[in-house]
Amino acid sequence: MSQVVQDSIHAQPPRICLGFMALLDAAPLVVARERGFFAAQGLDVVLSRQSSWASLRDKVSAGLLDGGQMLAPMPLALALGLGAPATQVVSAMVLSRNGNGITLARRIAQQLPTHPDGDPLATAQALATVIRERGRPLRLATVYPWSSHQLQLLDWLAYAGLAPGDDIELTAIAPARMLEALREGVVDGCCVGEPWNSLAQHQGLGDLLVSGHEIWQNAPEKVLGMRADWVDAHPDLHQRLLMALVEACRWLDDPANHADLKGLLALPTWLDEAGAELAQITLGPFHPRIAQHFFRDQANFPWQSQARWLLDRLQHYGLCSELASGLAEATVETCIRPDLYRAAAHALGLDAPVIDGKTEGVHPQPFPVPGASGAVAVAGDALLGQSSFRWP
Amino acid sequence: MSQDVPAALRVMLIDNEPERASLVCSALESQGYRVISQRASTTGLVAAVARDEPDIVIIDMESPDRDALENMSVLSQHAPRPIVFFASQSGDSETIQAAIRAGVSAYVVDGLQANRVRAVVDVAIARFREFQTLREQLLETRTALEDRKLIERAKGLLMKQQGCDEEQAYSVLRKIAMDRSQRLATVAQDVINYFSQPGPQGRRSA
Repeated sequence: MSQVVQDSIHAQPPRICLGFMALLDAAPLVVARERGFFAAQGLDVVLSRQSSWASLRDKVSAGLLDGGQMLAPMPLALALGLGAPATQVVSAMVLSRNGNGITLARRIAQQLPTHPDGDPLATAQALATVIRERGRPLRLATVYPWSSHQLQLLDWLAYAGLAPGDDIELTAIAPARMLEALREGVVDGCCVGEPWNSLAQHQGLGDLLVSGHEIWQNAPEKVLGMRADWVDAHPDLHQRLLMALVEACRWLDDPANHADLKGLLALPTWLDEAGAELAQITLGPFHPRIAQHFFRDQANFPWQSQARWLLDRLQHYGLCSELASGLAEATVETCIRPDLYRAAAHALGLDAPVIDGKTEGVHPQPFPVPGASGAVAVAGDALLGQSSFRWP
Repeated sequence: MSQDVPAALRVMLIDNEPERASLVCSALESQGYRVISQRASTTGLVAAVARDEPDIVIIDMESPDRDALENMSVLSQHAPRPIVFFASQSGDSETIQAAIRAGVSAYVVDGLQANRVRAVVDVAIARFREFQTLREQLLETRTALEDRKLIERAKGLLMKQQGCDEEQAYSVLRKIAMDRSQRLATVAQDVINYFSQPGPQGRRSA
């Protein structure tokens, strides 16, 4: 090999391999690649579509992927060894907020006395009545045990005194198979990420009953999770990765780009047929009640208080062992890294909160918190039934 | 026969590649395991696992139904759990790495001895790899066939355009390939492109 060729190979930054799932909130990764935000940061990123969260997790654990798009509780579950051996992961950025919905098969949604757009508590109670009248459990699906889908669904059901057991049979089905399951009557409803609620409605299979946003306002949905050893070895690349993704998120929140986005998502590499179908929905790609967003009101800031509260919900539903619970505080400190996010935001000339946590659930409207140069606005964080989570 | 020979393990195999499934299935059965084959599907999988109560589930790493199995293992004390729970035992972490790389994932019921699990997983890994090798060989054979077609076409074009014989045409291709450190087929494709473009150097003005 000639010296020139060798030098140019050495000058290449290491390739970054990121896993993603074919969901609407993979958009920050897709846009960063397709609209050149990775390239502008001099990054060589390979995006690898995964067919299950379990597969993404195992490949990150085995080092076949450096990291990727993760469910918000996933970096914590990985670090604590919930459901798999512990792997240390760093999450310094939220990729999306909101994005889930609870969709009920149309034949059951039509039995509900309240209008589907009604308030979430009344809808839960109406559902409880329907379940008791029919005398057999309702079969509901989520996508993965350690997910906000699971926690939001359980929180919402709990408000009407419903829980897995006599009232509800809970199962997990991959998002891409959810519509088939609704169509074949394998499940009566599901809590699933977009675009699957929109597509269920579009195909007349089901109706959106409650959105995740109506249960946990502006909750972190997908986050960036990277192997901690990779972040230690490549601090500069990691910062540039964060910068590229923040830029992509800003692009995504501009409605002027949404027509372009529809075209990108429909490509076979990304959301393929689901993306093509989503592109046909006039109001799409973002369902108004689901309120998915990517950048505004400090959407990308990785609040440690939200991570603690996710762990609190996992504990509440028996998805986090007592042993792991004892490690919660230390794990959130090492795993969720607002300091790294701040550095990336400042490098882009953006301000960010100077605090790492806030009391969750007490702000129904956007509110100011201190930033490095004055106050910054943060999105509301109300929780269903006025519950709250104190910080610190 | 000694008394401590354990009962045959029941293995459920979930794979949408029929050829691979039959490789794994016959290898396991020849070693005395009972194999229940199952094509991956939303409707059947969870019900089949609940009904047949396999000791071990072997499932293609790329199956979207893995998350359904993960959920079963959380909800039911008796459902098979991901094999990664055995990682604490010596030697198993290599097995798990090898399994992930080969595209095998496995779920096992509580209380199975690690060495019995490993024996099954090792068979699956070996057959998954064998299938991968077969597929690669097939791909290589196809590529070789296509390469030969390209080279023949390029030689024909050179003979016609340059008025040379077959041997000379071939040595021209080889020389370019060596100079550029490229594959012969790549050079052949370039030659074909070169002669098919319009313009002063192209075929139409020759």
